[in-house]
Amino acid sequence: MNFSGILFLLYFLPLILAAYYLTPKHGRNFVLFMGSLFFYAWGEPIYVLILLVSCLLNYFMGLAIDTEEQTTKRKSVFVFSVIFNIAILILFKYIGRFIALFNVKLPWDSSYFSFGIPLGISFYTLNALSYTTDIYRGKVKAQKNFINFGTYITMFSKLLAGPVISYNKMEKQLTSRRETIEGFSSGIVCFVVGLAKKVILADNLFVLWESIKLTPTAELTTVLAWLGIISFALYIYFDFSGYSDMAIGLSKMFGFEFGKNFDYPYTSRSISEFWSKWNISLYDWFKEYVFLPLGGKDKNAFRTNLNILTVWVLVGLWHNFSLNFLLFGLYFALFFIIEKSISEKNLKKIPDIFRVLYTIIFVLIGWVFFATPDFASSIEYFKALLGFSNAGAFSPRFIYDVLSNGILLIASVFASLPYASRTGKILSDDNPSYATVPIVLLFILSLVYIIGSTTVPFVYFSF
Amino acid sequence: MSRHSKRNAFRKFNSVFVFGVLILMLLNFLRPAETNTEFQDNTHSLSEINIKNLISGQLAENAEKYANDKFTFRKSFLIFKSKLEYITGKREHNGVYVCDNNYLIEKPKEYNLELIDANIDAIKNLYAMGGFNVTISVISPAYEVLNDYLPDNVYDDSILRLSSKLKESFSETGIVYIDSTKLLKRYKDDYLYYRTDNHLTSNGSYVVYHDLADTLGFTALTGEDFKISDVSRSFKGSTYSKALKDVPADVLTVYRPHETPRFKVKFPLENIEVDSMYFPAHLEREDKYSYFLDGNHALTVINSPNKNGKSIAIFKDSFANSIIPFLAYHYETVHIIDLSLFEESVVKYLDDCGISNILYLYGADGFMSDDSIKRTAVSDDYAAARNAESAAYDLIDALNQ
Repeated sequence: MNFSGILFLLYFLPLILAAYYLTPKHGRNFVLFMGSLFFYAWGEPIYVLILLVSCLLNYFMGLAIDTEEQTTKRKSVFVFSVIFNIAILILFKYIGRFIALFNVKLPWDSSYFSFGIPLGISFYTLNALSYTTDIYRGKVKAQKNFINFGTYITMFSKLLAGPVISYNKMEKQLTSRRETIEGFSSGIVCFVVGLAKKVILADNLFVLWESIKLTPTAELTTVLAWLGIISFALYIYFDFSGYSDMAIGLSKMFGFEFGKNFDYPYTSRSISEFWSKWNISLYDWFKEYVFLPLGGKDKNAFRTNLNILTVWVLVGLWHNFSLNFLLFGLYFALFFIIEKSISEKNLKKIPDIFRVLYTIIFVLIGWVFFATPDFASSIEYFKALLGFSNAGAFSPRFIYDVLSNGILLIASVFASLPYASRTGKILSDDNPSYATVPIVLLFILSLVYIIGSTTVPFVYFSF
Repeated sequence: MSRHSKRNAFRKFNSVFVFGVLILMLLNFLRPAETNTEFQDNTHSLSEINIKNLISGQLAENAEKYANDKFTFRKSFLIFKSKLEYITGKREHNGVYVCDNNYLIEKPKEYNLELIDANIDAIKNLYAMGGFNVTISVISPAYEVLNDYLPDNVYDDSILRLSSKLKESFSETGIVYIDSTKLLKRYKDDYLYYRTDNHLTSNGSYVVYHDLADTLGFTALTGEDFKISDVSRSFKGSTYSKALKDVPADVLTVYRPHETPRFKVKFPLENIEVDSMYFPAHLEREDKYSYFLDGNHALTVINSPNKNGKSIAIFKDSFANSIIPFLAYHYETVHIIDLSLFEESVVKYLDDCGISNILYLYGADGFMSDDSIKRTAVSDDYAAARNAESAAYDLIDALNQ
């Protein structure tokens, strides 16, 4: 089910909120668990079984690691849990590709079911891995209550596309969170802002990007290519951060507090800073469960760089097993390594505006790997960006695209800066009622856009 | 603000949303689903609840569309959105450009070289089967003929490229390709296309009718032979339903000869027979263009009072529907086949009815996107046998010389 659809907004969400608040406190996790399973099964009637299997297995493995005294046995269960979670991730992400590649005939009518990627699998396996790892490390105790554990894994607000909340961050909240009036209001604001980002900005930026992406290479002029990648960069930001805002807002409505997942990344002064502000929960997960275990920042610079490289290759491949995403990882690893070698003192001498421009330009170039479907098309796109396109530098179509989308682009650029939300916070800290009219209007405007469009799926649903 | 009044402010804020959403929910339950306009995608009937739909995810998709359609303020929201987007500078809504002179003109389909080549080959193959006179007319859309109405910087020459490709492909093949673009452009300010629909008006159809006359071998009737009357002044067609921009409605006119002749119109595959090429029932609904020939049937046969023994088969898309009533005066029988719906062997049908005149009459968009044109050259058993037979005759002729 789509957060940005009428079915969710006017049917599912009100009903689950009602069920939740009408249930006494000790039954509320059960409501969330059942509701989340229904939510997931609605979009994945077959793959919900995999989610359940993963839930059950990880639950039992967690208990086993916790209660087992013998170190070798503990270790083997832990290793098995890691292998299991990574295996189902790789298996189900790539089985569809495998079948298509080798033309395997399915023994059933493929219009019933064909092996697409199960929604959310990249996210809930990371959650499961954080769980068993933290138990093994002794950081948390296993969750004895299966309902509570199930709620952690399947919580519908974060199931499909994050944020990735490691178990230790949610452990206490599973049993001792407090649902407050302020929390609920904050949740509504967060959710509506995220919704608006998605349906008003992201979906329309997507249309602009798609029209440029589908332009035949012979017509892809340099200016058009730049307009395209800029609209892609804005589209993916508002789509993903919008979804994260909705996820965080929804969680707040049920009393859960998660940290923010984006922090105005396009104001960053370096690529390293950018990635500490983009999909923060994923960044934290990879730092905690891959980078640090590998040794993190080592005294040996070569070792550090190797760790950085490993992490980034994994991040790239976690998105998709393709050359483009491998290059995506390598590209940003390179920047991390280079930036690390320049001292902070020297960097501070450069005016911020240049540092931000540097970051934006190289992030835009990096997005080409993300945005184009394969290596060949990314090369074509780079050629256009750098001025080597056969189509030339300029086309009248560019003027049309800029004029038709001018207001959208200006609004998007403004919304990617912190000014609006800072003003909003200052005003509503003074008197929360100031937020009512703007948020209501934003909600209604979002409904207008929802009613009027064909659904554009969340970009991270495809991972 | 004190903590207490802040807490109240939060309470009020929450209540606004809770009650607002509750009211929207109630309104949705109480209101029956709006009957969908004929132009929208009707493939989301919730009555099809079965295992297949459930498992494949189709049910979820249908339910989402249903919830969306059932939304209380749907129509007004859609119109508001269109106005809002126009203000922010958008001149294109759902593939339709908002143009000068109150025209809503659809973007042409993508120039799909593979498909176009396949269609051209299919037509050549049919001709090569022997025994047919083949004429083809691919009508340029408003996007090309009225291209000066389009917003700045939006025009591309894909339609002109299609025309030259067709001209080049059919030259020296025996197939006659007619390009009415120049003639249409000469009269372009005479309301040749609907403002709110992508079809030709009766005026535009009249122009194309004249252009086909010489090749098809008849003398076209002229303006004085007709009485022109308005059958509807409130036509808002397919491009309006996509763009939802308020423009004056279109006028549907019909050209009728002074002595109203008696036509017999049959839909043989549906066992229906009527005595007019026009279907006034559609004038009460949204898709008024179906007034002409009742929209798209797989097979339509028109018997005209002109008993001159001439017959013709027309392979067409909806663009031809307002042109065919003009052509019908000049043939005893007109066989109209919509290849996307006709499932029998085309060549067998042509032979059984003794037809040797063939006209392909398509709009450019249809020709560039329709993959059923290939069916005229389908290698079914009948066509294969016929080919073998005519090859055998050719061989005998060759040997006898």
